[in-house]
Amino acid sequence: MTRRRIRHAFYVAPALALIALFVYYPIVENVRLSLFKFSVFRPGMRYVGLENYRQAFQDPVFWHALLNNVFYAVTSVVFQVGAALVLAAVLEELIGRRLRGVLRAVYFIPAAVSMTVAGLLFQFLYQPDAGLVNSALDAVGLGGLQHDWLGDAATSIWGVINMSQWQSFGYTTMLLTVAVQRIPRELYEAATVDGAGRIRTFFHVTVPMVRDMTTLLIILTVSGAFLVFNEVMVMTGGGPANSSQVLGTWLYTSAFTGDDMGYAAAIGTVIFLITFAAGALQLLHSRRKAVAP
Amino acid sequence: MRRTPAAAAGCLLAVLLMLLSGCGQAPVRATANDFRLAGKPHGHLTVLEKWADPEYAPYFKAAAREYERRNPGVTIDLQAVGDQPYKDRIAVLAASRELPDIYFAWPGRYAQKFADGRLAADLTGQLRGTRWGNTFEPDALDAFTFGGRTYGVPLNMDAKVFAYNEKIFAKAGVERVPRTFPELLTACDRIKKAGYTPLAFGNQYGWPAGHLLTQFNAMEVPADVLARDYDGAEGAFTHPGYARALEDLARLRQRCMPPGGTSISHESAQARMLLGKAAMQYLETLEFSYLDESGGAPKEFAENWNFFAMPEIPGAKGSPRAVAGGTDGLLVSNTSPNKALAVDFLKFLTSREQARKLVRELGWLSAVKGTADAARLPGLAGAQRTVASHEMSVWLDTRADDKIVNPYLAAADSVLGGNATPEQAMKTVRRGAENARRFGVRP
Repeated sequence: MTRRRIRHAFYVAPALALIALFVYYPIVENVRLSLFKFSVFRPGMRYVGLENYRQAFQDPVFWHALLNNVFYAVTSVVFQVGAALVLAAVLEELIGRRLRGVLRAVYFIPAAVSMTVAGLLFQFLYQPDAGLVNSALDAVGLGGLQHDWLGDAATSIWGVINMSQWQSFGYTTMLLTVAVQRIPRELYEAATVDGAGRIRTFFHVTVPMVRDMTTLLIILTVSGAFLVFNEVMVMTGGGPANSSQVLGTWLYTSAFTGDDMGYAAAIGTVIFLITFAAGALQLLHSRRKAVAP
Repeated sequence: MRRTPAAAAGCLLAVLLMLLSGCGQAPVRATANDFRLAGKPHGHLTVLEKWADPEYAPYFKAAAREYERRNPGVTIDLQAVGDQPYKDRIAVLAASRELPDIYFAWPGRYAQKFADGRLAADLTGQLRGTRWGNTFEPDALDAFTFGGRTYGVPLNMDAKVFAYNEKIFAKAGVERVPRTFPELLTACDRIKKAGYTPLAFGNQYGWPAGHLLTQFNAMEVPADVLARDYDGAEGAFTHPGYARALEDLARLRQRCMPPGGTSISHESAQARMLLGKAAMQYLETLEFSYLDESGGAPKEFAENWNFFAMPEIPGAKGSPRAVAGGTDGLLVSNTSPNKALAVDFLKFLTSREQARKLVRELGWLSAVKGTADAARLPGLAGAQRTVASHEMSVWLDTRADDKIVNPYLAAADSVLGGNATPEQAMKTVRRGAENARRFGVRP
């Protein structure tokens, strides 16, 4: 038995060592660095305890960035999980086989576009004077709604969130479609026999039966929303006036523009704690409510 | 088995404590400041700079190859990356104390960080009172001089000016170049009435507004106050000139810029001027090559443009002859084992022959004296005269304390967007400066 265990440990050890080196060590090192003040250009590090965290709590941009991440997460869950599940169910239940295939491809194409390309594309769409969005509004008689979407502090983050939904919606729809296809048809037939309508069947058969997938997608979209970086950097750089900063871009700005590496590490730790907590809570919740297939 | 999680947690804690008590930043292992070449130049040099644009990169590659050709024992690994990637990469290399032998630096505090951190070699003995040093414009050398010591070799000079379409000015009845700021605003009104956008402005990434503020601050605030405040001194940014500078920005926004918004890129805005839709753009003299037919400008524009520096602001308390700009330069790593070779290459790169080539081929203003006559581009000789007759005010984002830059650019954004009054915006800047002091990195 002991020899078997040793053999198992031997096989597992390389993977464990790699994970420890490339995942856990950087996390621990990041926590350590968050307790210091230092510049990459000057020698020496000053131990400051929790000063960097106090700085974060007193930093209005940090709170604004956190709020933007929350907007991102909530919108992503609504569209990329909620609306995507409705669409997946509609595609499977109401659309004919041929059209279904075409629509799946249409919805999925944005997910195959690189984030940078999509960001640049939406920048053109949002351009204040020659962009497609403002031109379309003007064409349908809504010229009064024309706007500098990315240049206005009130709308800049929503412009970025909107692009992100456009890009990821089709991808999550595909994942949920696969989950919906795996639901035994008998359950739907039984529901129909019991007199349940389409909406009731959706809530009492489809939703519980794809819980594993929705849990996974919620974890992925929520943690993805707190790790968002590329789209904001490409489209707004966090501006104007820091209105579209998210934690990832504020971390980057603090590190590479502000040269405040300890503070950037503290923001990194906060991001880790949020995503870790979101994942753990969701897993606990789903375990309790798990439905046997 | 039950003890395993506890043991794992214990191990993790032990590792954490070990790390907490352990390693700091790697020390700077400076090499001797010996700049004498032993015999003919030989060895390997690494160079990292930020001129990756296809218009500029070939010049630097050709210069490196020419030096290698003249010195068969030398190899040069020259790498060029864009502006922002350069900032990221050099910061990572600085942190790991593995800087290339020669690297780029913007003037002001940006270069000073390398000097203060002993990451840049002290080149005072090479550049002050020497034959080589005397070939440079004195202001250009001063841009890399901190505490009386010179750390950088200036390469080119750059200034911010208004390029304008002469035909649009004539059509709008603007008969002469504005001599005061109110005259500029009046010219904008006339141009607007003639059906053109007076000033093409794209502030997508914030720095164009930062350049305008560099200009206005230098004109509205006395130089000594400005220097103290940009350095992050206590009680900074209380001079009324700062709010006036933001008011100037707001006035320019209101009367000269297009009403729609400013979230387009600087390059997109430039296209509007080149296509004859806008009358002016506030741009760098480095960009003059784009205003020429060889740089892609339409003939109609290329033959009908000129430029002027920001006109005086009546009643302003700063320097009426200020012009926003900067001198780009190259530093030698203090940890380089090839300092003598690095300096020899820099002497070649800034030789009169190479400097004239830079002026001719890139259309830049060289930091080497007496090279402006090599220019092919129209306007470059005039730009040289403008730089010589004005006081250079270094870019706010490379001159001010790192932690002040973000709040300041955000304040400019707020004023441009009409979301804050100049006074409200200055409160944000003052709060940023206060935070820079409270939570600053400096010991």
